[in-house]
Amino acid sequence: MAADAQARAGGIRIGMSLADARARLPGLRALATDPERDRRAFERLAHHGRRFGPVVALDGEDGILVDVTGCASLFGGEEALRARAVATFETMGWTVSAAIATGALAASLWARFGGGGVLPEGGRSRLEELPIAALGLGEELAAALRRLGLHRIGELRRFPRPALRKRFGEALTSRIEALFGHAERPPQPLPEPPSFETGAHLPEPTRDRAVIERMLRRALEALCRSLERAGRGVLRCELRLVDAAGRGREFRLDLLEPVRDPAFLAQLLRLRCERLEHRMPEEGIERILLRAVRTAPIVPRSGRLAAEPAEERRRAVRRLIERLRQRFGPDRVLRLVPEARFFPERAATAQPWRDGRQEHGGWFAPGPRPLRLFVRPQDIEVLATVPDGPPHRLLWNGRSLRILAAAGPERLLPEWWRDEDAAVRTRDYWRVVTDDGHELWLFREGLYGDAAPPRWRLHGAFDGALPQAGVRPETGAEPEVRSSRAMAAPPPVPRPEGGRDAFAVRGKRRYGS
Amino acid sequence: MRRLHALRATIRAIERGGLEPTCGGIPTDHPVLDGILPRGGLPAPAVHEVSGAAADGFAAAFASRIIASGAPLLVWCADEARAKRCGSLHGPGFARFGIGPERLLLVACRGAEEVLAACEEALRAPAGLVVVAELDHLDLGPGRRLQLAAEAGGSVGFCLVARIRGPNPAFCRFRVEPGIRDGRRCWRVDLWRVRGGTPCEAEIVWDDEALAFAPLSGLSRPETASERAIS
Repeated sequence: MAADAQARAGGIRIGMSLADARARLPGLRALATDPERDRRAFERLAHHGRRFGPVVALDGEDGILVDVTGCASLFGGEEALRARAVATFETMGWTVSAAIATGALAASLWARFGGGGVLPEGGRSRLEELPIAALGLGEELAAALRRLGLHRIGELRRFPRPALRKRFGEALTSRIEALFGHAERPPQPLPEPPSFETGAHLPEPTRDRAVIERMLRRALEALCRSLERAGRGVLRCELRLVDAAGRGREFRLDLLEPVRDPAFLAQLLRLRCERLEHRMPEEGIERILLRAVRTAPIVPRSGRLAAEPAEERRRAVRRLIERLRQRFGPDRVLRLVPEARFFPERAATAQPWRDGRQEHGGWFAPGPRPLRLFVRPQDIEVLATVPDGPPHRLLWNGRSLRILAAAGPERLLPEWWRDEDAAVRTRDYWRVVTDDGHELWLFREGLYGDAAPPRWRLHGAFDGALPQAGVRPETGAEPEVRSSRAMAAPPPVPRPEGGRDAFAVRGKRRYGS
Repeated sequence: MRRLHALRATIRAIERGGLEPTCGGIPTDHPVLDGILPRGGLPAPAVHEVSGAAADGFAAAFASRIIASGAPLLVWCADEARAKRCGSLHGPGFARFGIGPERLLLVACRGAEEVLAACEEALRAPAGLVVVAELDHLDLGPGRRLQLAAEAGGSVGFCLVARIRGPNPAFCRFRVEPGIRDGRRCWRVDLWRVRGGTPCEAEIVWDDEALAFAPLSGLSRPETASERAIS
């Protein structure tokens, strides 16, 4: 169990039960431990120690050992190095205690129990002041030594070694020897994380696209070979084209799933460069640097000679989506995600396409919905039966349309639980058919009897297009023009009376605005 | 010899991974229309042009049929100019055609060039998709490119054009307008140019429940005036 500084300030102590802790600080956030995840995160963190020395090792579960032999001068001294290390990790959000000493164990102990700082070569005697518990030999041994009146490491040193060895075991004596500079086994270094980088050096700067693409292709093939050995694929890679003057232009490729195919990567990089309208620099490209910044393991494919057609199709679809994303940008290849919101303009949001199954189920459409929706519903004027009757006539964009039939009302209430809907009014939606066959979706915003008079608005069209002049095809050039066809107003239709379930019954006519 | 043919067909199928190159058509369930269209239905793979006020709905209806017969995805290349004029695409509107949110990919394009590029890219993918592109008009050159891409990938494309301008190599050229017949809403479909067939007109209704076309009448007879009430 662990508590951070704020929790401790609020009175939480280690060993307290969760209920007690929550009673003290109601806003407490409790996280379950996950030792495996912690260890992996810690390993990733440890690699940052490579900034200060070539060899990095883990020291227990909460320490990082860096071999800084000979590196101090690069930082301006050991104290500067130490301060820089502390600053680096604190910027990342960690509370650290750092020490530099001769010998791994000495440094470890000094950081933990000695308060940190630089322990000069001649200052080893200060290690003697550390408590015996620092040696990490176990509670039993420490208790036994305490009973004998021994509290500090220095007191132990006064005894002859053979006697200590016989009495307390090899571990104690070897630790003390290691601490004071004799025969220490170096710690197990952490292997460097794999990095996937390749580069190509052109013999002379060139502006020839074909040459550059060939070199790039070779670099990609080398990269993919090393990825294949590691069983991984590229999720993010960076391409840097350096011109003869030393200036570089970087392109980054972000993929949805790991890819290891050099031909496909070359295609995606080309699309990406095209999108950025990369112009060849005057002096030509001299060097190509390629780096796979993020990789992920690739599940190996099945061993059949020809994959299933369905699987091939899925793969082709994924590749198409990747190509479109690189060509147009990831924010322009979208899927419409349904949301369970009443107002139709909120019922689906356009989001960048991400892989993975959708758990949303189907569209949220409690009633029939149009194919196209105006983002801002358009104001119209309507002749309708007051207060709740269907519309009879519609005036929009200077055109007056007669409504033959209307289905509804579908009443949609604002989401009263949201603050931003406080001023939004109830809508009664009507699905109407005009006399030329267009099916439109309009609504009355607000109820009669409200403080402000209600307004009628047009929200969308069911077949996608609206009755306006611009949409009709101009058929001037075509010889098959049939202008006498019944595209004009259909023959007059008698007044509808009564109706089936879907359509409203017309009541007494009263004119409302 | 027959085995050689069969083997060749298998290899072709593996290479395409989608619809066969000379497969049949998507039936419209309209006796007259299906009779007129070559291959007994909307030819696939091919690119067709649709104009008129009800073009979106017509294309969505056909897309629904094509998805029902195996296409994995509907790629809609939307032009922002059209969205400004007629409104943007509304997801729940596809519920009527039985196309769920996981079947729809929207590419937001700016300008005809981007729409054509996206459409070509999607048609060429060997996955047998159905692609809808929103254009102002379709010219000969781009139309041919799209047709070749559709054949390569085994996909079906619909170009929704705002106006007709000159000839183009689209397989079928439709003009779809909304109308009322016998008190019901219908689509007046005018197939005014079809490769290897004769033009015809028909009135078609989309059945929401069955997710299929239903014929309303054969060749239109504009003189009939309906006396029955609109129900």
